[in-house]
Amino acid sequence: MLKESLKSAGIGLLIGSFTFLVVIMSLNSTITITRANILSNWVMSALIGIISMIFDSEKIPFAWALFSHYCGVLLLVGLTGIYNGLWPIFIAHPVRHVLFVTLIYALVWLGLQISNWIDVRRMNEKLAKRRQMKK
Amino acid sequence: MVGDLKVNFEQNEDLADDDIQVTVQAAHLSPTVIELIQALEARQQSVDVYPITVDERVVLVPTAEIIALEVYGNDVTLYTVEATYQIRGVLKKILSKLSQQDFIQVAKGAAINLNHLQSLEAAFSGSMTAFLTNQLKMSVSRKYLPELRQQLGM
Repeated sequence: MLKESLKSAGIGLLIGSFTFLVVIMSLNSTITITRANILSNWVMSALIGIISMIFDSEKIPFAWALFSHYCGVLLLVGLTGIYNGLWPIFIAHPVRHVLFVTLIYALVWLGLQISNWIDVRRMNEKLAKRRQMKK
Repeated sequence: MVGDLKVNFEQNEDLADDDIQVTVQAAHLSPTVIELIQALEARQQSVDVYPITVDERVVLVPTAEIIALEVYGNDVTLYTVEATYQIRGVLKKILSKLSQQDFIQVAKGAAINLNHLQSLEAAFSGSMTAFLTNQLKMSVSRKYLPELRQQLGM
C-alpha cells in the first residue's frame, strides 16, 4: 500500500510539475515564483496523485470516482491557491477559476488517454510477438 | 549457453508411480544451471490438467484449454474452449496450481490465460478490456496493469 501510494504521489508530482510549468509559460505577464510556490505545488501534485488511487478501486463506479477525484482536485488547487495568496482572484472570478482548473484537468486527462492508447498499442504488439513465438 | 548436455534415464522402482526425481550435475552452480533448475521447478508447480468436480464426477480440464476464471465469493466460473464450468474455490489457490507464466490475475476476481488473450483495448477509465478466445471479454483493472505489462515483457 505504501509503495503504491508513493508511486502514485510520484506520478502526480511529475504531472503537476509539468502542468505548473505549462501554466506559467502560458501567462502573459512576468511573475516571480517563490520557493514556497514550488513546494506547495509539489505537495498539491503529490496529494492529487494519491487521490488518483481512487481509480484503482473496483468497488467504486467510474463516474463516481471521476466526480470525487475532480472535486478533490478542485479543493486541493483551491487550498494551494489560498496558501499562495491567490484568494482575492478566486473571490473576484470564481467561475473563471473553476473553468480554468477544469480545462487543465481535461487536458491532463486527454494526455493520459493518449499515453494509455500508446501503451495498449505496445502491449498488443508484444502479444502478437508472444503468439508467434508460441507457434 | 549450454555446453555438453547429457540426459540420462535411470529407473528407480522405489519411487511412486507419479514421482520423478531429477538430479542436475554440473561443475559449478552457474546461471545456466540455476535457470534449468528453475524451469524444472516451475514444471513441478504447474499442472497440465486441472481437476474439477462437476455433478459428482471429476473432470480433468487441460490447463491449455482454460481461457479465464471469474470469481464471485466462493463461486468460480471456469471458461474453457469447450465449456463453462461452475466450481467452488479461491482464485489465489487455483492460480497457484496453474502455470505462472500463462495465467495472470487481471482484477480482484478474475484471471486470464495469456495464451488465449487476443488483444487489449484501452478504456476511458484507465483500465483495459481484454478480448479472449470464444469472444470472451474481461476487464483489466488499473491496479493489475503493471503485472500484465511485466508478463508481456515491457
